[in-house]
Amino acid sequence: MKRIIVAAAILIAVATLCIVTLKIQTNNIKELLTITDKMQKAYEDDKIEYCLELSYEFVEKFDKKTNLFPLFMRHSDISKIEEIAVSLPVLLETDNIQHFAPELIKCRIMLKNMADLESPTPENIL
Amino acid sequence: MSIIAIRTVIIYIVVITAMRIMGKRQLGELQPAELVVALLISDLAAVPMQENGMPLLNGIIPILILVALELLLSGLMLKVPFFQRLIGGKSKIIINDGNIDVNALNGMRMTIEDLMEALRQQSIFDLREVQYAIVEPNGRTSFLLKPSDRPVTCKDLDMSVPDNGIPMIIISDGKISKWGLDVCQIDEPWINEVLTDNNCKITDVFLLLADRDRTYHLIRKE
Repeated sequence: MKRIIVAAAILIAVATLCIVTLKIQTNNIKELLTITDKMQKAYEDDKIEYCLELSYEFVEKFDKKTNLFPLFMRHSDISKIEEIAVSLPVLLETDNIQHFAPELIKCRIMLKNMADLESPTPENIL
Repeated sequence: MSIIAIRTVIIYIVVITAMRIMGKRQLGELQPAELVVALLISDLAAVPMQENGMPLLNGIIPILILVALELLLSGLMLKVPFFQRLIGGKSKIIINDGNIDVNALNGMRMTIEDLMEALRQQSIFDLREVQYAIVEPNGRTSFLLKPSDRPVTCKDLDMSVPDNGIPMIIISDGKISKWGLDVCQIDEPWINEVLTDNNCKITDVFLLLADRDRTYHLIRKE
């Protein structure tokens, strides 16, 4: 009986950990995606100054929001997105604006994939 | 480099804890399900140890889940005999009353050479001496010799022998074993008596064995 209790305790702890990490990941990525949406909107409206401001905010938030991600995600997946995130304000500042939109889209897609990868859908499980 | 070292220590602690939680049975004779778990754990532990870019939790969580499932399964096997048969398999008789069951041997893909090897491992060199042979779920083969070939016991000879219990280590390398004292119901004054009789100090003793009847064997340090 003692062993079954230990087993149940381990399973509950693991399930809780999984739920908590999934929640953290989903919420943080959602926040980051909101900023990318705003950036996209500002870029389309030709508000480059505001877009630059948002891109700096995005880099800062990315750093803060993903500091727990290495605990449960491959470090290489996070650094790939980080590379693009860091390049966004640089592209705006160095008049490489034409490259900004594709990089922003790439960043968005990668963030979305990151969120999708961890969700326990049948596709991911299988 | 230091990260790999720290990760290795953490994984080592997790694996040792996992094996301890699973219990002694896991370390001794492995049932099929236990063998699978042991192999999986060793494999899971190796990957995050080598790869710095992989979260440690990716290795630890599957190990914990395997431990929990193994505990649940062994609990179920203990309570429900059906699970015991389903997961652990059941013993199979391959020599029944002196006759080899060829179908049973074939069913287990066991050759006569395998059977003879198993016999020899139990110090049985003549197949005709065996009355029953049973292949256990852990893959070992147990044998029962024919009555005429069984070793003579005190009971056969109608002899009575004193029950001295199990000889235990009382002093090992100059240190007293509390467990040995408890099992043999011996106290420290008796040890002092033995040491005085043998004219030595406790630090001079390499090994002192004793049983419940206080029969002892003392080996001094060289």
